[in-house]
Amino acid sequence: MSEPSVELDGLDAVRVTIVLSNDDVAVTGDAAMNTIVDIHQALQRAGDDRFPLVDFMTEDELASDADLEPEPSF
Amino acid sequence: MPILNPNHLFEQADKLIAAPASGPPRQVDLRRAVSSAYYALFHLTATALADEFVGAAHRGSSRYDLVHRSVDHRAVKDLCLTAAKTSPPPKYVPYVSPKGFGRDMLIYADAVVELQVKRHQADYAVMERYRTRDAVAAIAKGRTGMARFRAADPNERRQFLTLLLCPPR
Repeated sequence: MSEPSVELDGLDAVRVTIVLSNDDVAVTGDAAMNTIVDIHQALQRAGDDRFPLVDFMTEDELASDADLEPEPSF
Repeated sequence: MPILNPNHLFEQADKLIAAPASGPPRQVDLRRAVSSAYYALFHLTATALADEFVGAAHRGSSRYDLVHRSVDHRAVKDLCLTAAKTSPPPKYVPYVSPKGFGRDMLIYADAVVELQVKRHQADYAVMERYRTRDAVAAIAKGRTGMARFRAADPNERRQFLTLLLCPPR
C-alpha cells in the first residue's frame, strides 16, 4: 500500500506499507533496509525523488490496535 | 572524552520497549526508544568523523570535541540523501565514485534518513500513537544501519566522512 506524498521535516516522502500474511516470518532489520534501498533506487529510476518511509505489518496488525496504551484520562 | 557507545543506545532502546509487568508499554518509552535508535546512528557517525580526522588516540582533546560536536543533524541527513542518489548533483561529481556508493553505505544512509524522520516525529508529533512494533522496527533498522556502516568499504566510508566535514560548494 502507498499513500500520497507527505512532507516531514522538510523531506518529501511517500509512505509505503507492506502487508505480510500472518504466516510470514518476521522481517529482520537487514531485510527491511534492503527493501527500503531497493524501493528508493526504483523510485529514482522512475524519476521520483521522494524518500520511501516503509513499514511492515501483518494482516492482523493492520486490523488491530491491541497493543496501544490506553488514552490518558487526565 | 566519554564517547556515547551506539550499542549502549540500542540496548537502552531494548530496555525501554520491554513488556511491562502489566499493560502495554508506555508511549513515552516507545518514543524514547525510537529516539535512542536514531541517536545511536548519529553518534556512530560523529565518532567516526572525529576518529578519522583527529584520531581515536586524541579523544580526550578539545580538538576532538570540536570536530565531534560539529556534526549537524540536517547535514548528515542531506548528505545521506545525496549519497543515495543514483546520479549525484554536479558539485559532488568530482568527489564521488562514478559507480556511486556501495550497498553497505546505501543501507546506512537510508537508515539514517528514516530514523531521523522517525525521531523527530517521536519527539514532537503528539497525535501519533506508537506501537511496540514501531519501536522494534526502528531499533532493528538502526542496528542494520550501524552494521553496514562498519562493514562498508573503508574508502567509501572515508569519502562519505570527508564530504560531511567539507561539503562541496
